[in-house]
Amino acid sequence: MSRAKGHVREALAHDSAVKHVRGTAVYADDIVEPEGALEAYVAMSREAHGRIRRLDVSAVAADPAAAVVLTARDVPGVNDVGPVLPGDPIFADGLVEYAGQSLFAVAARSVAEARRAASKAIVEYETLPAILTIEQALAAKSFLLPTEKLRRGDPDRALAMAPHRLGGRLEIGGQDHFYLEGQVAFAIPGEDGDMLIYSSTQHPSEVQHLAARALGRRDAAITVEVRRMGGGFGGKETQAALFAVIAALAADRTKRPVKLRLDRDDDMIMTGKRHDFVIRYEVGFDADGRILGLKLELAGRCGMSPDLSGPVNDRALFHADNAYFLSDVEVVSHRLKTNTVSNTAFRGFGGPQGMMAIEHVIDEIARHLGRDAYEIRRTNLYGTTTRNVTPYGQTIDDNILPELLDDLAKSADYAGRRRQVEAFNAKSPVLKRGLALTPVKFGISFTNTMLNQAGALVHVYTDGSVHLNHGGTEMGQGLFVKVAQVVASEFGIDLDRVKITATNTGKVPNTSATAASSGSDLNGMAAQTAARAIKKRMAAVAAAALGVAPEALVFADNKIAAGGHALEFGEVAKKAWMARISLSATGYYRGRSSISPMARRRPRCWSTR
Amino acid sequence: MTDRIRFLLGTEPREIADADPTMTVLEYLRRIERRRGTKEGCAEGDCGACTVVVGECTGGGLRYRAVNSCIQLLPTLDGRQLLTVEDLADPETGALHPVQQAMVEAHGSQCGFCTPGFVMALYAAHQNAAASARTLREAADRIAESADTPSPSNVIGLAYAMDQIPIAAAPDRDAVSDMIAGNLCRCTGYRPIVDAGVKALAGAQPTERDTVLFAAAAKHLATRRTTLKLAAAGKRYFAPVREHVLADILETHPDATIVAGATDVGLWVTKQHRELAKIVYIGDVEELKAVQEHGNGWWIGAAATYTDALPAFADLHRDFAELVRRLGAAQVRNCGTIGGNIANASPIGDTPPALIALGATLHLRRGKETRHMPLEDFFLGYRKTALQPGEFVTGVAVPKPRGDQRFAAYKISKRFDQDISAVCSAYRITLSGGIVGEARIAHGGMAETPKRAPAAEAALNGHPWDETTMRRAMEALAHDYRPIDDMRASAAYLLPQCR
Repeated sequence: MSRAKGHVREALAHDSAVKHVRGTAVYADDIVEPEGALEAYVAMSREAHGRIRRLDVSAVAADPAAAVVLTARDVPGVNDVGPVLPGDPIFADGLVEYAGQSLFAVAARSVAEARRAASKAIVEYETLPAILTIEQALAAKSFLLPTEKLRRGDPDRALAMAPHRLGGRLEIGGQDHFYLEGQVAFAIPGEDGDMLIYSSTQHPSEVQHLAARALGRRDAAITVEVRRMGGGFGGKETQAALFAVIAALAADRTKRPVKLRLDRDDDMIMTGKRHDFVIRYEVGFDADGRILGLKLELAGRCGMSPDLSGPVNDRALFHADNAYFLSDVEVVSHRLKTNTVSNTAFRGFGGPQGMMAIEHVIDEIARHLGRDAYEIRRTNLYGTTTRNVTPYGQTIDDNILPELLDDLAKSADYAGRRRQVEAFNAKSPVLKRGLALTPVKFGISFTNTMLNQAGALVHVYTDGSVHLNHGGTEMGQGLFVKVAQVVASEFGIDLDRVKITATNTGKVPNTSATAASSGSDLNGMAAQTAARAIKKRMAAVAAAALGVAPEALVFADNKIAAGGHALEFGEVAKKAWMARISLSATGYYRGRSSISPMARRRPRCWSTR
Repeated sequence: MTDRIRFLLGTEPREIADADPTMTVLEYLRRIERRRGTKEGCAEGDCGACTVVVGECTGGGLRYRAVNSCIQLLPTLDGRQLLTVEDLADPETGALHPVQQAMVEAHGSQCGFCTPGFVMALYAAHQNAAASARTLREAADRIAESADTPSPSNVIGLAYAMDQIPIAAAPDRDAVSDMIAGNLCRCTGYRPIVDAGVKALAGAQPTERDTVLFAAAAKHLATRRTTLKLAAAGKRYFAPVREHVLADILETHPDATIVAGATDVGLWVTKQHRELAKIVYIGDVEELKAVQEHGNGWWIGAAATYTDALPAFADLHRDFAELVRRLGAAQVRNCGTIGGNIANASPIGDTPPALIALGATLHLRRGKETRHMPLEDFFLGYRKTALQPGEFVTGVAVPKPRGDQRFAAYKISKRFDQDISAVCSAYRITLSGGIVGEARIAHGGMAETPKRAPAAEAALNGHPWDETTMRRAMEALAHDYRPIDDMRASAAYLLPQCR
């Protein structure tokens, strides 16, 4: 039996692979601009912390090239793009809190002209003392958000009783996302104050809501569309909003399309990065390297505003156990305010920083005992029936790590390789080799359960082709083709009959960011739900036509068949239309969080404060 | 005199009279031609997302090279063929080029933004790999049979010129990695892209489409014999083809900015937003492009690119060739020049430490007057040189290390490939009977200019070539250099590294 092509579990090329290699895949900056389109430039603060004594943009406005100049005073709605909590002004209003903060924007025919005009502004500051580093912030008790604490057992007593004890400090640096496509947005004004924004964002709904708030409009007036991003990595979860909103403000004022694309340098200066951490630890352990007591202090540099720093630091806290059972433990998480760019989501969302802490502790234990670090890791792994509850009270289900690691160590010949490494190192005085086998436990889904929801929209046309839309965004991870495979499988049709379309807030509303390793699961299920709704209606039509029970029908090979009789999928679609049956459906899915209900409450519930 | 830029975009001739001479090729493609397959990733020649391939006539032949369009100035395309990612697939059938097909099959793209750049970097390599004399002669025959008979000399020249950069018939993973060292990808981790490169380049043959592109180049490209002069957007641009004309222009316009590979000047435009009112492009000056072997040394013309001069570096010493391979990836080596590297007077320089250690002599010209000096004497201070107004570098003469001389060069950089040195060390030790006759030691990144180490040299000269002497010389380095902390490395790191 021949099968329809491109179903789930087939390894397919990216849906845009051919367009990628031909240069025909359209990114936001590639959209052909309508006549009269403008380009915007954002002028930045040179001071890390200061009061703006004077911001005179009259010479900028007088520049013949400048179509519009926007400052804090020109924001009709709310001058803030803070995603959860406020604190991210669109344009600085009296106070600057990091070097690179947006001061004002200019739109002109070209960004070069806009930049030239912007250079005519007069800006005077009263410089204020700036806190830049984690240690400075700790010393000054500069906390952006309340410190959180996770505690189980009696770590102080466990440390005091432990046969071995170590303590130390570890620094984990920040990191720029370096999405190859920098931040970009293109806003096109419509009638009645409507605005269409093409934004390179992982979170179109949030851009929509923030743009509406800044413009003082209803959400329904704003439509955000994202066909694809040239990389996101968390850097476009919240950071795209500022530029999309500025483009929209300029477009609204000029009634002309406005593009805002950051030069790489400006992008690196203006946008948030991975949270850097300073970690202090005290660990007590026995002669086998089993951890008996642990105290960790995680100090994360959040920058000047909350942005996503709360949940990022929460996740660092929840991942500080990584894959290891900690009976008596205390993890303290400081969220520090500094006069630096506001740090943000970045692949792992704090998880890697938390895991790095415990992995470093394990390496130190191994060095202290003169043992292979893998043995220490193996010794401390979560158990399957005992030693299987996380510090935040979640029982670890389906723990396959002990067998998995044993298998890997065997198939990779870990012991043999270890001997080779030691033999090499014994002979090589300068160049050394290393070897590690490290497990990872990572919490899939948003820690905030509310966000684990997704919507999809599916239409079937009378020729049997399918239009698919959902709330997930494509940034290279292949989400679009995966969800399309789900729909093709559901309908039993070839993948090329399923039209993949750009994420659009007008089609699927109120979506969550494409983040938290949840895009495929949430959106795939939503699309499946929508496809099944239509399938059920089509089955009724096909069953009537074939004279069989709907339950007997099989959707496969581009046909709907039962008892040796079959109808083409498109034929049934046409019959449904003629019978006045809707061939369009939305689908919705609410997932659960993989992190336990206890953890999903604010971790402060364990706080001793 | 010529007053407009003429080049081929794919197969189509272009003639441009009024463009701003500092417009980059990338800007031209995206804004004027609306060919938006070529992407801007960094606008400083570092990420390769904007990679295009430029075909040019060289000595009667034609060769294709990958360059970063973001820092190449539009007028430097004059007389050349520009190929972009849109040119590769067959426009009639839509058939992908083998390089494109391999990228699709190997899952070489994810977000896709860097992909056109990788495709073009691999395409340049493919053109060279595919261009065995046999396949190209066949292509040339087909072209010659077609109705638009191109100038036969170009076609035949092309057949031979393609052999200039020898590429293994089936490059291995290391070779492919070097081809794409100038392209960044944040999604794939590179493995699938290297897979694609290995697959596409094994036994590469020109496609039908390639021969169409060759034919267009053979038909339209001709070496310009007069100076290109442009005046637009309040700027002037001169591109002479003879050295004496260049000398005249610079005497008349001593305030002009000399541009060769634009791997640095391009950034003055894209990053510093400087307005360059007068530009003199030396990349078309035949005499300055020479790379010649003279018995016991090499002459490297000021406008010879790193790629052109690679055989000379390799012959001088393998460490030198490795140094050059690592200072920039293919796109940078294909544009950057030795003259630019010297005249730019970067404190690091990358090639000057090695050239100084080798005892290179720098040749300069102003008007009809020429002079020469030891290279180390050329550097007077931070970004300050002995160059007089209107004077220019014509080339550098580099003696080969003799049998009694040992040469070594080392480089420490933050990234292994495509990065300027944090510190670069070069040594030439002349030995006679186990005694150091003459030591020449030079460093980049240790002072405000590339600089010799007289104290360390003195500690070596006349002493036995042994560990004790070497340790003394290492100590003496502290008298030679007082490095500073900068973004590339700290002083505390530099001196021990240097030792």
